Amino acid sequence: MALTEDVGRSEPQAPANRTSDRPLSPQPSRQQDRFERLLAAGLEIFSQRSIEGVLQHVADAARDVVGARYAALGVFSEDGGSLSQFVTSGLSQADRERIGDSPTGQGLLDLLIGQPEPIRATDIKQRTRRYGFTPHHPPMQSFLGVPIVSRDRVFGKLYVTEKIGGDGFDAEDERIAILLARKAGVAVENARLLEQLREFQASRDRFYAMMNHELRNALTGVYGWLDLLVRRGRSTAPHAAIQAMAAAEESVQLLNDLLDLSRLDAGRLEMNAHEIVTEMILGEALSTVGPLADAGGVRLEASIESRTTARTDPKRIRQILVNLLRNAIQYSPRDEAVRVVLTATDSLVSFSVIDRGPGIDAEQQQYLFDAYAGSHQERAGTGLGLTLSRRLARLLGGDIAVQSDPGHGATFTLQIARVVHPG
Amino acid sequence: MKILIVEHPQVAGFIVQGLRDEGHDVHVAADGDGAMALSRSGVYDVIVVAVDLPSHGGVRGGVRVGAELRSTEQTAPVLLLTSGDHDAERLVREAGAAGYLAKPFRFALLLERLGALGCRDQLVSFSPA
Repeated sequence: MALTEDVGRSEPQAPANRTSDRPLSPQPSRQQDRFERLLAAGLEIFSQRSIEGVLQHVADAARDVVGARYAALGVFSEDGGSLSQFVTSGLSQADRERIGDSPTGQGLLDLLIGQPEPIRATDIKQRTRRYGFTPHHPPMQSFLGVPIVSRDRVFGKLYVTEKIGGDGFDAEDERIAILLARKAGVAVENARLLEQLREFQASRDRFYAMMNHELRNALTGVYGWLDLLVRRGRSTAPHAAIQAMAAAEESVQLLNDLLDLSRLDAGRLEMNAHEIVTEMILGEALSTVGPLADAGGVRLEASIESRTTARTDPKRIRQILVNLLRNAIQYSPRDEAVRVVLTATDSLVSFSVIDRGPGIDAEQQQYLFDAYAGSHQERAGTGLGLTLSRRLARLLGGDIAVQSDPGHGATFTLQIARVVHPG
Repeated sequence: MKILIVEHPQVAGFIVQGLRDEGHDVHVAADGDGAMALSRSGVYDVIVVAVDLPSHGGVRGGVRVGAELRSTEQTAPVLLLTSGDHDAERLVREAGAAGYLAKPFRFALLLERLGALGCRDQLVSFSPA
């Protein structure tokens, strides 16, 4: 693995600067010490949250474990033409300022960019001008540079200079540097993947926001004109206009659910917890769906088995209950009842919405709460309401479950925590 | 009432028609520039501004339009028309508006809100202060 090369290897007249691979005299305590330092450095590196933190710790660890006066780490930009990040270790702030900006692909660094193998040299001092050290650079003699590689891609270079207590760097130093460079490579690659994911999420969020506005404006026009038509003569309004109005209302509901889901996906749906009386929230939800139940000839019944309060988001509970009640009413035969049972324990409040509709078979139940699963046919007509309701219920510290025996109706049970903890 | 509507033509159509049917004097602008021009040439009882106007370089150009209208001599209360914005109350404050109505809305609700805002304005002008 160790390719021992002189920096000026392409020049036939290069002086014989080859370093020796001869191991240093056996020092178990030194090896043990290096091993322990390497382990500690590894833990420290992976506990870093920022890419800058990782790179700095890799450079520090390389200098410390290998035993060098200076270390530097450069990460190439995505196009490979320049450095996107450059950290040093062992150089004082004043040294850094004297050197000026990070090297830009000239001289020594240029050589490193074009060199995917490790480079080791005992003396590069006489080539400082040639290989890109600026005039104010601290003097450097021994040198070890290794590529930062992850998945066959070279992301940058890690190099250490000025071996402490020796003429030059040996094969073991090189292996340690390669190991540390590999850690930096993984971190750089992960950071770039994360950045891509963030960009993708941001563009998806912008797309959702744009579609929301476009669709909402289009629907506002449809809805508004129909409303004017129906308003002009409630008794004489054409049946078609009233039906179209109901369809427009459904489209708006779908759009609202889509918007909420996109906010949930982006982690931007906020909960506003208040102290509420649970049966009052149920009463509000029941009165919201009252007209729908009347139109379908369905009775609404409520059994309050526990009177209790909760600290939760009333708007979201109402939203879930209205959705469950709408579904139950929609699937109930005429003259049947939809029943809601409210119970509570010390930690949970449960609302069970019971209908006597056709019920839901086991296969359908699988896809009921997950709009992202199942094929189009399997999910046809189920909308987004239950997917959204379950996600909201979980945010409220609970869940929704369904129990159904096909032919004998369905029971949807919403459970929420008595006290919701935001985030 | 004399009402200024600042809204996309796509949406403004039914609002204008409906309000004229109710006997109101309705003027329409499709963007901020049009709104400022109309605002300078007349005194309105109520101004309706869509939040999502594309003008002024942003999807929420309406917020700036609202704020700019407030900075002129125009004293008419502004009603914002929001479109699914989760932070509607903050937008109302930023625009210096009197309230908001989320799109789509029942026409009756728009009439109710405009009536309340128009009346409030009259009450303010007749008050001894």
